[in-house]
Amino acid sequence: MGDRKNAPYRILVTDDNPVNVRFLKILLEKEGFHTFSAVNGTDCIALVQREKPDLILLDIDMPGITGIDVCKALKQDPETKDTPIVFLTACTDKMVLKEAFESGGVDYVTKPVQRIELLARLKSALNQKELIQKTLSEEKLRCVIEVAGAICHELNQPMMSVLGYAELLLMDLPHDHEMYPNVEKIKAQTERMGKITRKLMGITTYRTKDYMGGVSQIIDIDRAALPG
Amino acid sequence: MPKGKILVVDDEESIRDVLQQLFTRSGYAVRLADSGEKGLQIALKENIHVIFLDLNLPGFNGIELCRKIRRDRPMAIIHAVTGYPSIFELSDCREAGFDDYFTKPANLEWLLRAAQIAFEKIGRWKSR
Repeated sequence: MGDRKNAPYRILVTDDNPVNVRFLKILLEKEGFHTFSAVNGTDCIALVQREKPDLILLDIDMPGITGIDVCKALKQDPETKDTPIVFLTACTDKMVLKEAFESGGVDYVTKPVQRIELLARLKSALNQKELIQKTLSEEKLRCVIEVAGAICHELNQPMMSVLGYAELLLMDLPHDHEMYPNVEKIKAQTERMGKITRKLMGITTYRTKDYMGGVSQIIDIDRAALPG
Repeated sequence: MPKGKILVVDDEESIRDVLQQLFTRSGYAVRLADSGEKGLQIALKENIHVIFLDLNLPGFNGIELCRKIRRDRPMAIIHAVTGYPSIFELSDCREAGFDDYFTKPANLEWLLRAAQIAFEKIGRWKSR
């Protein structure tokens, strides 16, 4: 995913049968995925909250909390609701599958698991997640640009007035007047603000930089306003 | 006797005030309007040839106003002054008939210089 482009995807395998877990972990790790596992619903939920996996492979038929209940719980938590869930099931009952999709699962794989099918479905679910993230990030950028443009417009009006009144004062004041340097500073600082709003109106990308030594992140106007 | 008459159309009261003070103290007569409709009325009725228009105006916008003035006053010299350059491209403004284009906050010396050049041109055209 974006911020760890070259690292493998992290898959959480959850199945109450340790043999299935071991088989799936070996299969996935051979393909370059990083995996970790849980053997019941409670551990699965705790691991998702702590480890933030890229995808969850989740057995439906588990004793105690079923996979569908786990899925419902994860979809209600804003921190975990966007993690794609692919169900594992030996059951082909259409009503169970319907319930699995309604609970928020993106796909399912039937047991016994076929390697090619499993990998194809995982790839599809991960691509879908990336597409959603890309769309959200484009939407975020569009909002930033629109808000920045609207704010700049509102600021440019009073700035022009402040700059104008400062210039009128400079026309009136003799150069050796004690107020002259201060009015010149008002003019210079207003021109500086004008340069900032021009940069803001040229924003084409969404880039951030460290603020207060990395305590926080703010939009990097200089880089965001660069052409391309 | 004023050096010439200038029309300023802007919906922001303080900007009209600043430009009025600037041009008045430089010896020009100034007429003000806060909307496209009023601006058009004054420009045509008073035969004003040097004009500064905000682009984002209530009623019809600065581009439409420029086209309407240009149709009846082809010799007018019309300047765009905008706080929102992304609404219209510079090429849209040129196509509508604007002679020059300033983004807010614009320095008064640029605007005064633009007015002086406009009156010099008109004077030259009249004396040809």
